[in-house]
Amino acid sequence: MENKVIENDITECKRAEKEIKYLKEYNKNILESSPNPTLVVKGNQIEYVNKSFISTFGKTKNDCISKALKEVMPVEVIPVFEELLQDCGTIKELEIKGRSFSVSSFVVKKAEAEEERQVMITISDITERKKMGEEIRRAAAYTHSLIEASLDPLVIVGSDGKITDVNEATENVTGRTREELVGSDFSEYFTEPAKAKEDYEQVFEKGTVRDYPLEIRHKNGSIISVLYNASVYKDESGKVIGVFAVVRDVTEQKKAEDELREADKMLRIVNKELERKVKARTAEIERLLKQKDDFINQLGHDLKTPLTPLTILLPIVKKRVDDPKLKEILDVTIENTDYMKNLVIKTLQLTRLDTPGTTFEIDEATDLSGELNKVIKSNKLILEKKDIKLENKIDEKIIVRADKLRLSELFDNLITNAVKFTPDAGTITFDAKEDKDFVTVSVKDTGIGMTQEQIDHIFDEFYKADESRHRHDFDSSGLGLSICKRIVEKHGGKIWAKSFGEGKGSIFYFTLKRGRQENHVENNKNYRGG
Amino acid sequence: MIKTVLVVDDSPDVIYAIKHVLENLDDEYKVIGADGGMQCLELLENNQIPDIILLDIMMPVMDGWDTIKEIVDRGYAAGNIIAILTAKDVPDQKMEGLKEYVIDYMTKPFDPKELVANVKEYFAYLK
Repeated sequence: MENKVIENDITECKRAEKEIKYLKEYNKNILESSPNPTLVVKGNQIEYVNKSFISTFGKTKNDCISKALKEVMPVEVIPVFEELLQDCGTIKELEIKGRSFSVSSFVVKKAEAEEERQVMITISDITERKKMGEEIRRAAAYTHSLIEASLDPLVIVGSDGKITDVNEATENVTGRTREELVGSDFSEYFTEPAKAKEDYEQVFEKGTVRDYPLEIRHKNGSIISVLYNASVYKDESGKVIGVFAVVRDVTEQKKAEDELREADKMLRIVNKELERKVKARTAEIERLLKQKDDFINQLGHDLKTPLTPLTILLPIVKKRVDDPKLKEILDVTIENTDYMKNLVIKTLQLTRLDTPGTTFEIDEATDLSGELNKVIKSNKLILEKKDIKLENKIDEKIIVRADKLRLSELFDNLITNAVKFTPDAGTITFDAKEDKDFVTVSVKDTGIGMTQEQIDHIFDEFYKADESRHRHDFDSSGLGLSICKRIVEKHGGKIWAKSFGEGKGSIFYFTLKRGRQENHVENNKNYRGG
Repeated sequence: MIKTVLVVDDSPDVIYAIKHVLENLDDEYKVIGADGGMQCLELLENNQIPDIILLDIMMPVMDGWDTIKEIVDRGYAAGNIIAILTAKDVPDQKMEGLKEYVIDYMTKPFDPKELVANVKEYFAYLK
């Protein structure tokens, strides 16, 4: 039995030894195949280095085994290794020949005596990793500096609506620090959080939002008007991971717009008021002008009415009187009555031409020659009285645009004027010439002619060419040619005079627009007009 | 045959002067006077229908155009010649639609020759 036990023990022992040997081999293989340089230090001497160590540091096994660390590793890293040996379980970083390494240590075999303690040191080359990390850091810093460089507040919001980053401008506009902002709900900084949330959700939906008007509430309570622009940003796979938002402070712009609007409103009010004043003033002027016209019309009528029995009855009385002295007195009376009659008629004519709203009944096809003949007929008496020959050389085919009544007034005044300054047995000749748009009518007399000074003033109101006759000139009102000028100008024409000098006669010219035959409608209603 | 002329004018002197000239011209002329539109219409209503009406425009109460309108409305315009005694160029909205009843315009003040010549012409037109 005892033998059996011993035998068993030996077998167990052998199996155990075999097991241990296997484990040792196993561990060694693991260490040897590790890509990380690894060494085992016992006491102060290197007991083991793996292949990676040899290849990484360019040593042979003999260079390392049973050597002190300081004989193998560069002198500057020795303190780090010593620390690692002292303080097992820690990780240190060090640099060897420009490369970065992470070094960790752990105890393989504990021992009372330091010389017996075995520590394994694992070294990883982290040069590439470190470089990459550096690059990432630099890229992040660059991106952030860009964000910071923006004068407009920039906010980065995650898909959960929480702020992930802000710039300084955002801190300024909200009055809150980056720490307060990051992680908080983006929408809560607006006066209408629901609207802001809706908008921010729209960005996720559409990918972008432009010039969305919102108002930010500053910590101090002040409101800042902003236009909100945002778009989503994505990860490498194209998945939306958040929103990049830019808010533009448009408070100043809005203020300026408001001010402009206010100014515009004020301007409108002022304009309206001005317009009202102008209207009132115009109405007042029109009222006064109408009052003046009404007055002159009334006065004209009131003067014409008593003149009518005088002009009718005085010639009858003269006829029945035989006493030459009495006849002479009646002649003076009749002359003065006629003068007054003439003056009243001409004044009324002129006033009516100046009255705003006086309408002209324009006939597009007024027969120029025919109208003149009518006026010649009504002036037959005064022409015969001075034995003046009046020639109408106007082509019968010529038609003009004219108000017939005014045209006859125009002819009448020109004839009266020509007769007055033409000696007995003289000639007055009417002629007309057509050009593209106008008809030019000429009235030539064989009268006393005019000086240049007289020509310059001949169309002035109350101007009388013959001053010497002024006080006793019962034939002249001094208004006839002024009336002619008004009539012609109201028809869109011109009037002027020429003279070849005193005693050599005068020519008056006026223009009227050419008529149009096709619109000519014969007016037969009036007994004499037709 | 008696030629009847009705002169409507608020100035009795104008009526007198016309009456004097026409009635002295020819025994056939008979001039009736009315001092305004109302009296003119009264005369017409009383069957005093003239051949010719010489009508002043500017009259108080009822002016010439209102009178013409009444004459037309009451059916007295047919066969009668209406001549107006004042200027034609007084702008007046009332003229619209009534001008066709007016045969002529005689501008005050006129002299006896003008009056006689015109009245003779109107009667010639009546024939």
